[in-house]
Amino acid sequence: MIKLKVVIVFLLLLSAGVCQQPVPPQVRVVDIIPKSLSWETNQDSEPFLAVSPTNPLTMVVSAFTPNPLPTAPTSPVFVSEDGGRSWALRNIVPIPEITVDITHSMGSGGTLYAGALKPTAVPGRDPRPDLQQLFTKAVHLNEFMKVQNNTRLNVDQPFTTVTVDRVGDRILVGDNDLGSPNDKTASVEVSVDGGARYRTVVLENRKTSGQNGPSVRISSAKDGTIYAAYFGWRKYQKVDRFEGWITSDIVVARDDRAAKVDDPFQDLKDPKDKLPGRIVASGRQIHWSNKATLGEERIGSTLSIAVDPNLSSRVYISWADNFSDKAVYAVHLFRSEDKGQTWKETWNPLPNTVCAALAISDSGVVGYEYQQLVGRKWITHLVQSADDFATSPQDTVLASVSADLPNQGWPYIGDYNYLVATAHEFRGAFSANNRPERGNFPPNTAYLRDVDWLKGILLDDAGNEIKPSIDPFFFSVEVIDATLSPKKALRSTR
Amino acid sequence: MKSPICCCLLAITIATGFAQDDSELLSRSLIAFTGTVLRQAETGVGGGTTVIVRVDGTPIKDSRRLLRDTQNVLVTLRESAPLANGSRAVFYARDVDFESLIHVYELGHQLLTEKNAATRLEELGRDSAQQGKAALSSKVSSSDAVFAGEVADVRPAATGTTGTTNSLASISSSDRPPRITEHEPDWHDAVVKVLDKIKGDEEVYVVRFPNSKDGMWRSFPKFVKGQKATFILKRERTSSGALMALPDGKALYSAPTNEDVLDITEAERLRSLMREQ
Repeated sequence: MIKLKVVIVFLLLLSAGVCQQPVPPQVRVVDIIPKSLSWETNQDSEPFLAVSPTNPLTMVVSAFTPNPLPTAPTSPVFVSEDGGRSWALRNIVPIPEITVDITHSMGSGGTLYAGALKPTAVPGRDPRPDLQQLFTKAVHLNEFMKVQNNTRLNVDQPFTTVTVDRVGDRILVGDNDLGSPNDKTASVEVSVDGGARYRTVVLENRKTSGQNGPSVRISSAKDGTIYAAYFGWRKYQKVDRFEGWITSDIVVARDDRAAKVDDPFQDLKDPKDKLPGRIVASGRQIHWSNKATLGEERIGSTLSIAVDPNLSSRVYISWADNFSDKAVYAVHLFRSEDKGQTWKETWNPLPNTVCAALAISDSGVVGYEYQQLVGRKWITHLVQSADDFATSPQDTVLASVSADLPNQGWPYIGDYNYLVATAHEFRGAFSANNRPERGNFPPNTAYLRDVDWLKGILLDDAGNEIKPSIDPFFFSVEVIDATLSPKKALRSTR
Repeated sequence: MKSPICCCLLAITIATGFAQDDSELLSRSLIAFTGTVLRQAETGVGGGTTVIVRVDGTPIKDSRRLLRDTQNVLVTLRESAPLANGSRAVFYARDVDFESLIHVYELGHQLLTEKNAATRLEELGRDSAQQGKAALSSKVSSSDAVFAGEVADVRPAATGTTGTTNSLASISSSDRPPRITEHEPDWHDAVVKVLDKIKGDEEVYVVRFPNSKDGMWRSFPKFVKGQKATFILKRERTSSGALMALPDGKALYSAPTNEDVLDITEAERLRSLMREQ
């Protein structure tokens, strides 16, 4: 009798585990252009997202969106205070009309920190993009951002992350410090006291072709381990003014003490030359092109890194290269289980792909956002894996839209995206053709601006048809169940 | 909370008992419109009294771009006392947010009466035009050349320009390696033939501009061969104030904003402004 019960229980457990069909995660997609801007046709590309750690209903998205008042001394961000259902465009950034690049993150008490590029006129010289490090403690009250640090001149792609620490907010801004007098430009602006003091940490330790690539990405675990990824450009072969072929290493640096030491990011050394910064892949060919190359998109700087927040030895990296100068531009996904010492390819390369963004949930599920050009369509994916891609990941297509919209400039859809893991959701932003056709987006996708879904057209507030353009979209996707993951057991034992 | 400057001005106004006049408000505004208060709104972002206003008139250019008559907008008042439903006023603002409705944070307002509403709307349009004219006049006055012209050629910027550079990559190239960036300006020179001289003696001007489509250069006018326009140019200068010149000695000019390149039909208006100076 006991044996029979054991068999029945075993069969029930087996059926629960084996026969259980994966339930598609809950998905929400919102075109965040507010109703009162229904007339706009800007190319609102390169979106970035920040979520308040203390109140996840409050979020901020930025994009290449101009202040609708072109003579205004401010530029905007989008703010939601209801978890992404509604968004307002608030002109609180003290940079006239539009920021060149802007990324942001939220710290304790909902303080919003941003790293933004301000085009600065310099008599007798070219205008240059200077880094403005900004903050406001009251984005919910629509308070203007104030300058916290503006000493970095001629910078590219600031990448802002904030971690709430016991002594204050730890702010790390990865950037390509083109104003540096030497050839090592991959840098991080570090503040461990909420922005009272900043210092510049140069990540690169090897000879470069004259500079590093523009992307410097950062990810922090809860135990204070911080990873930084960058492109170690070793050679640049010019094709013309707009493009060239780069021979680059993909490098990961690590700091084990929350960047609170005098010389951070020295803790992960490469076994070959013993220098700080583990070379994950060496001698990759990257097509650097400042012109329409992948559809209307320029290419050359896709890079993302994410550490498991609860297991700092587990870290993922994704970057784009051509592998060789005869191969297609493709995004690669690698992971390490030993704090970055060894790396292995985790998923097949994705051809014709940009804007890779990684995040890892508290439960250990890996989220991977990317945008792929397939035929004449840009397809935006969020894939999730609870087993390190051992089995096919859960794929949510967030948008599948025509790539044929005329280019108003660069970036077209963006040089990067961003993905955040909250308690139960992956949240992110992407930019895409806003033509409102049901087949282009998941069911129940919401537009705040005026649209006619039946006719598949955009409208202004007077009911006139508006041309389609690139809009920023917010999304949230429920994190898949990680209980069946073999990593679950691993995580619980550490 | 929205604008500390507004709070300071309010404090000064209260302290001195000085009432700001329409002209002063108008000069500080980016938008102004006449409207009728429909009702008080729920407390808006940042506190303050917020009312829903129906737009009755938008006599100022930038306002017309954003607002249309009969549209409802949110107005957060500078002072906490609400306006009565049905009140008519001219609202002046610099800060505007875009929500379900457009949300303006007023610098101040001037109440209208049944009698003066129509007149005031006309006056506002006239005042605004006058201020625009004064700004343009000042621009013309401080310029080095004003003319109607046609772009005869566009070519990559000449290298070796005295006191200038032709790309970010070559700035202070003596003390650092060349840079490769998405924000490369791709400098070009537009050779502009003068069709109608208003200020300046040259027959041909060379205007340097960033031809890049990167977002950093979006506000700079771009030129194409055959383009006709009215140009308001300034000479390029080095950081020490020295005038810049091309390798052949010809002066180099710039037009960094869309306000420096007007429609060809504006030439006569600029000539009139010159005469008035």
